Amino acid sequence: MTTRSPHRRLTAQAVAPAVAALLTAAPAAASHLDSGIPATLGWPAWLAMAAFLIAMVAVTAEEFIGLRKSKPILLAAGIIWAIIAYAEKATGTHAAETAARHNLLQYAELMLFLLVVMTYINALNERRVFAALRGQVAALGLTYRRLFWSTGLITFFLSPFLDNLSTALLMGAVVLAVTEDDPRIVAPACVNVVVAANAGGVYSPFGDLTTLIVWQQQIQTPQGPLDFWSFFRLLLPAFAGYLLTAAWIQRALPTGVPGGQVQQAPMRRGARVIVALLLATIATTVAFEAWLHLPPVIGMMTGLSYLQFFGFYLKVTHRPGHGEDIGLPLPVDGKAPFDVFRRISKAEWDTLFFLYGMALSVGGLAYLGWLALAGDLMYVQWGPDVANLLVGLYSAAVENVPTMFAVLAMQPEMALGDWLTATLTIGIGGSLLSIGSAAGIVLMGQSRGHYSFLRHLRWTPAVAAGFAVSLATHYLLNADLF
Amino acid sequence: MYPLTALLVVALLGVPGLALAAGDGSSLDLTGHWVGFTAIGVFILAYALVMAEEFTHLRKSKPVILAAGVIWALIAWVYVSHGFTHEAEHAIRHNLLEYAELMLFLLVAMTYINAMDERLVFEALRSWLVRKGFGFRQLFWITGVLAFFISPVADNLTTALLMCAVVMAVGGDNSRFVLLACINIVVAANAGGAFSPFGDITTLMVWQKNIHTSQGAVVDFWTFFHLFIPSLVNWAVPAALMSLAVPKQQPAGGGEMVATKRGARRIIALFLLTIVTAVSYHNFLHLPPVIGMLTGLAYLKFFGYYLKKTVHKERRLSNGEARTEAEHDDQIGDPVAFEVFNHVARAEWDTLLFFYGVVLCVGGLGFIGYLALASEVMYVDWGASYANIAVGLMSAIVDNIPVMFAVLTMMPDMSVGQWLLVTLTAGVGGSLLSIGSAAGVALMGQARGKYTFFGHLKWTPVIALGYVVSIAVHMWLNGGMFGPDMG
Repeated sequence: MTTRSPHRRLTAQAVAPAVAALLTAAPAAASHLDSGIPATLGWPAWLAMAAFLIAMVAVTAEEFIGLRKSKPILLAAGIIWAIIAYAEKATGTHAAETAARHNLLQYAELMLFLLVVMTYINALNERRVFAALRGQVAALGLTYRRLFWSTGLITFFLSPFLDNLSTALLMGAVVLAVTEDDPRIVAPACVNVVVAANAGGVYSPFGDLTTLIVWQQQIQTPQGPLDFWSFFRLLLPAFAGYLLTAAWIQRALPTGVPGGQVQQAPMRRGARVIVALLLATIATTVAFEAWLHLPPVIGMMTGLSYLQFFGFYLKVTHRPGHGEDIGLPLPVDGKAPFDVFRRISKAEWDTLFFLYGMALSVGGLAYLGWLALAGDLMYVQWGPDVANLLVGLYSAAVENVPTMFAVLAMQPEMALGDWLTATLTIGIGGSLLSIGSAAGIVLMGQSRGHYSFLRHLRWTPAVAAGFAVSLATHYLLNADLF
Repeated sequence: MYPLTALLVVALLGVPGLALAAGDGSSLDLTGHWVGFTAIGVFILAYALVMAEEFTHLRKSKPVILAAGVIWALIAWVYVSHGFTHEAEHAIRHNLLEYAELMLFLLVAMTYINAMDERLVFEALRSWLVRKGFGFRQLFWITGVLAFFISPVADNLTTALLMCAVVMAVGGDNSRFVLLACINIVVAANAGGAFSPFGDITTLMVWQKNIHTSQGAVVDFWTFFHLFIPSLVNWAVPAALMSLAVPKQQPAGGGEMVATKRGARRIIALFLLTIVTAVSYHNFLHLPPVIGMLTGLAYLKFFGYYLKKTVHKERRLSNGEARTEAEHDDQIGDPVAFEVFNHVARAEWDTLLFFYGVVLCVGGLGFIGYLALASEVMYVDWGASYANIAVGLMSAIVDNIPVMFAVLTMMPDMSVGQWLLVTLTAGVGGSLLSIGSAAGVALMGQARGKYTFFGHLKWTPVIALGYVVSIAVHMWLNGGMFGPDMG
């Protein structure tokens, strides 16, 4: 049993509206679960932890047993909340229901946001924007080194707009097409793309899932709110780290010009407009958040309707029955001309349900007091610097989404700079190992064995050096935020 | 963290976002402000486009999503310019949560139905029904009766989707039959849900309020079963009239047996288990039912994995077929799976996104204060009986959940009979128009082009007759429950 007494909770409910009104000025202090640290962890906590660990083992073993990772965690989420609700039943309160709804809301905002991003990426893909980009890079006839740098830099600056997974897939496809599977270049170039995608995503909520998760919490700190623009303080640190890693890796490249040929493909009608609409959507989202104080997801959904109306326009002005599909969240056209993204459509649902499972499971563990315990140990006793560093290293081996959910659930009282540190370390920490980020995992599958866990490991020192430089730059440049 | 506490308390007590308007005084009454009028105008325009979908071929989700964005942007702008930075955010988050629960619930139900479709369950059922020699009229009654009796147990949305899948499988090429059968299913599902808290969200809301009337009576779980006969009448009257128009033919299609694919029956069993899980999560654990539904989705996903791993057991398949089959098996549990079902996928997304727009639009109008205003005018000026009947008519146009929220927030002093009346009207009033109930909207997607807004509208007078008769039957049968305030 957790130690929350029904009496205390009811009192909290009675005063909550008044308190909440007061707290709008300083919401950092408002704890959504009003969860104190329980004196002891009872059997429900241990049982829930066991369910979570078993699920996590299955998630980690995805590559070997072929069980997609959403499945075990979805079940675990249901079990964990059933345990909680059963244990809480005696108290006769609706506390568990309220907490579950809170987690559900958190997930829903994330899911709808991602759905819109995916829809736009699918539309861009369907209009052959990516195929055209790939063809143009390949047609430049660059040397290995120039190819290496141009793919890396494009990845870094594209990743904040698309998400890092899509960017890595796209640029990975460029590398693979141009280099004709030359093993001397494929592995370093893929490491480069992965590092660049993760570093490029870290300073934009549109680029990285973990940054998005932090942003959507709309955290208030003593140094000001953690809003859209504050993440741009991470641009230079991320870039510095990436440059170092890339400079280190490029020394191993051969000289000469790759011989791979890629067919040029023109973009389809309306492609440029869709790019513009994507930018308009991002602008709407940022404006809704900054000026109207509405959740970012509302702006995204409104942006989706731009794309939908444009799809209708395309349909009306063109062959009937075509183009109308633009604006639907998942690809409907299996015969897309350039189907690098085909594997995503399967992965997309997996990601969305995985996120659900994670949000609810970690939320459940937080409710049971586990994360308050861990947060107290890490963020209070060890201090935020050590804790954030550890979190980053940890995310190299484990999915970074649950890591970020866990940090948020711990609700550490941190400065703006510390929140950025956590965002940075979790975002780029995943580059240390090939399995640390979604980008790395997908590229391993795509490169047909030329880019593998061990080949990435050979460059881990370079990535680690970049990690250290990023962190140092961040502490140096953004010292005023601590 | 942002102060979700207030929002959560609001959600907990079952009070809608508009309660904020009455509660802490930190909000604005915009019902007379130009923003309020603009919001109404935008909403009406969007709804006009929705109704015109079959002529313009502009999918119905598109206008409402944009309208939702515009309405809330206006509201938020006014609030921010008056220095309230978080009220609108709280209100919209409340609506978002409501939508999320509906969407995930629907997603799981659709996924199961897709999986059953892929396993040829409906195809097999069709061939069985056809071989039995049922004509369209018999099928019309069979699906109606099933819908009426399944929807009190499952929810009416799932029921309607399931029955529509059967109708589409049997008579998909006969548009007239599909239209009539779909209207019949929508009316039956809504009527069947009205007398059971599991069947309809509005009934559930009234039940959860645990109302004690001023005469000392209580509206408890069993009270709602007094609505059984009125509900039955509500469906049976229009059904009897519509059945006269059903073509007297046999469904086309050969009489050959279609066998279901491996695992079909187990998927049906898992679906039932999922509904049981959702109901138990809600009933015994007091968790949102959608969490039970998603847990149920995990059953299906694990079963898909099992099918993939054991695909070699299927002897009849060649090597290549086995590989495709394994891939299909693995995708069981994905909401939108196979390329073959693309037309389904499109319609489903349209439905899901439409709900987003409607929930947020109506939520926005509620936050402005219009729903509270309307229910106040109705209950104070018109009296309970007329107000309750009007609530039903209102729920034909806007979603019935926010309408019921508004009524429960006002908490008019009424007898048990009046509470039952409003439960009945809010539950079945949505049948009057195809966009009045979740079941209707979902079927507009599922039977796209055959079951349409105007197709349904042609039969609205008949449905309205059922509406009037069911109210009369309720007042006559349960007259004793109305107490002294019946007027």
